[in-house]
Amino acid sequence: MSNPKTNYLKVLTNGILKENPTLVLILGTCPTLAVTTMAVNGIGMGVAAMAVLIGSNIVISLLKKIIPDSVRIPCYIVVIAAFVTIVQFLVKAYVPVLDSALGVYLPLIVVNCIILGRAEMFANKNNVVASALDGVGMGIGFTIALFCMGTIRELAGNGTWMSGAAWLGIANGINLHWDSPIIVFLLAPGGFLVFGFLIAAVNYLTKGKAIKKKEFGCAGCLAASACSAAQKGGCNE
Amino acid sequence: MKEFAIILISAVLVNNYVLSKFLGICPFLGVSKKLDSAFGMSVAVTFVMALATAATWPIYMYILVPKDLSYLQTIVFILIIAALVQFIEIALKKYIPSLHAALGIYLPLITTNCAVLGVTILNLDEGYNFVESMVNSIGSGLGFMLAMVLFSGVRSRVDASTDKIPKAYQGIPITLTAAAICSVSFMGFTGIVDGLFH
Amino acid sequence: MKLAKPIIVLTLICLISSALLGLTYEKTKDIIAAAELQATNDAMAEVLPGSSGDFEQLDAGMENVLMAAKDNGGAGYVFQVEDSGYGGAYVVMVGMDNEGTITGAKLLEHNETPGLGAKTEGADFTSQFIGKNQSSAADVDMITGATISSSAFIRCVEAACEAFNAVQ
Repeated sequence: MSNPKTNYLKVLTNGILKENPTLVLILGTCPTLAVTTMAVNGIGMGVAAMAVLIGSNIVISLLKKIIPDSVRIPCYIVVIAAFVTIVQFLVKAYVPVLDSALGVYLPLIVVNCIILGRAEMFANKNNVVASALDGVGMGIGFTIALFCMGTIRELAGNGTWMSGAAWLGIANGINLHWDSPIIVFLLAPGGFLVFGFLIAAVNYLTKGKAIKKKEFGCAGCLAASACSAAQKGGCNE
Repeated sequence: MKEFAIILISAVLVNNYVLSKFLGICPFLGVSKKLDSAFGMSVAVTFVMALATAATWPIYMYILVPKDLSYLQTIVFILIIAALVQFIEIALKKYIPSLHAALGIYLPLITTNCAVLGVTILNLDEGYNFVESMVNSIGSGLGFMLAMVLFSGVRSRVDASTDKIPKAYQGIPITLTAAAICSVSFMGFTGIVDGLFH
Repeated sequence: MKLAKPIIVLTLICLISSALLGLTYEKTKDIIAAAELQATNDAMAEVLPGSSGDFEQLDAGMENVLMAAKDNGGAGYVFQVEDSGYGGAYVVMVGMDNEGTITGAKLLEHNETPGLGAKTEGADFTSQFIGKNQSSAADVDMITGATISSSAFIRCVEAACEAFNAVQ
């Protein structure tokens, strides 16, 4: 499958726009909804996931000839879990504020389907450089999507933007000093709502061409080939 | 008994995994189209959650902590869950084929379900003992089931009126909006524990 | 041989990953411990201004008092109290001078509703406790729409006052 004429620029931008993992492929929905109450948490989660994604993509691409097909999924999971734990330690050590903001969702990057999906769909078929770039692109795409979600929810729900970003070197962010912001945007329903709006907006702006997945289910899931239910025609049907 | 009741009610209603903690969103949105698949999936999830907790809690407390290996938590837990799911599938196929026919197709989806890994980690974060962890896991599974079953009903209504929805809003956006409204209704339960037990 | 290779590869990957994790853990554990200590010290300095930073741990003998400490510099006492708020565990740190007058209170851990109960974290609410003591601790303005969270905070402060009497 490895194409000697891989267009590296295309690989990089693919994840940011054309196949944005969150807004186009609709993957990794749990962290997208859970941590985006503040814009800065979106950036934190995005960067943490990007670090894991780049690392796992590189290692899996390097090991693609060594790993036997029958145990590839457990191998990928172990590699991903190792990177997640390393990232978790680094965040705990150097950005403890982010660790408490992301909570359990930081170790749960392990089961983020973007990462296993890219390992299965891209890293085990492409060379190291392309895989690393794919990780960067997908990571940036994920971060941008989370940042947009966080911006909308924080502005509407709390009247602030980029608050708590001291660890990024930004003092206080913006505070609109609203008397009664629309709190529901910070709560669970707001997460579902804003995510739905964003996807609808992408749908509308691209006249419905962008969204690859019209429905949730195995057929559109990148990890589908890893999932025997899909082969049996199970899952959604 | 009071503590167990508090944990159970919190897990099922107040801190519902899907609608307030956002864990297990993929199956919630992916497998909730029909009532029977929603129910089958949630039975499988509850089953695996309980077994995963029964396996991970003792391993963490009696092997990883004494040996100062708690940093292996994530890697060990995900491997245990993956192995457990495989094992359950094989065992069901061999001994209870009727149950395997009903649940088998959902099992492979569960390995990468964040609700299962989430419950095993959260049990330890909350400092629950073994029995409390089991109650919390089963409660979380039941909460997942409640959300799935209710939402499958909502979805069948939404899907039936697809042609009345603006084009850009069809499919995923309208499903998420419906989920938001379900989530609002579950917010009514916050504070119920305080009201009942304090 | 055909069956052995997958097992060997998987085992090797597990071993190498574990070794790398162990290495990262060794490298970061002191920094993590230092960061946690720093966070506690910062919180203690915030609720007890003028403290020496050198604390002696005490035992208040109360189940909900997670920590009781006396400043060796003589500035006063710090207590960490747990109660339950609207959304679960609710941990408050309270500083007091030697007479039992509150010098500061800070919400350390909570799961309250953002925009409502979570407002009990803000200085607008917590600064009301400064200068109060056991008898007047409940005499503060509650946050509208967040009575449960506000009362949880007051209960924590009152428990800290009791703990103060216990360790005196």
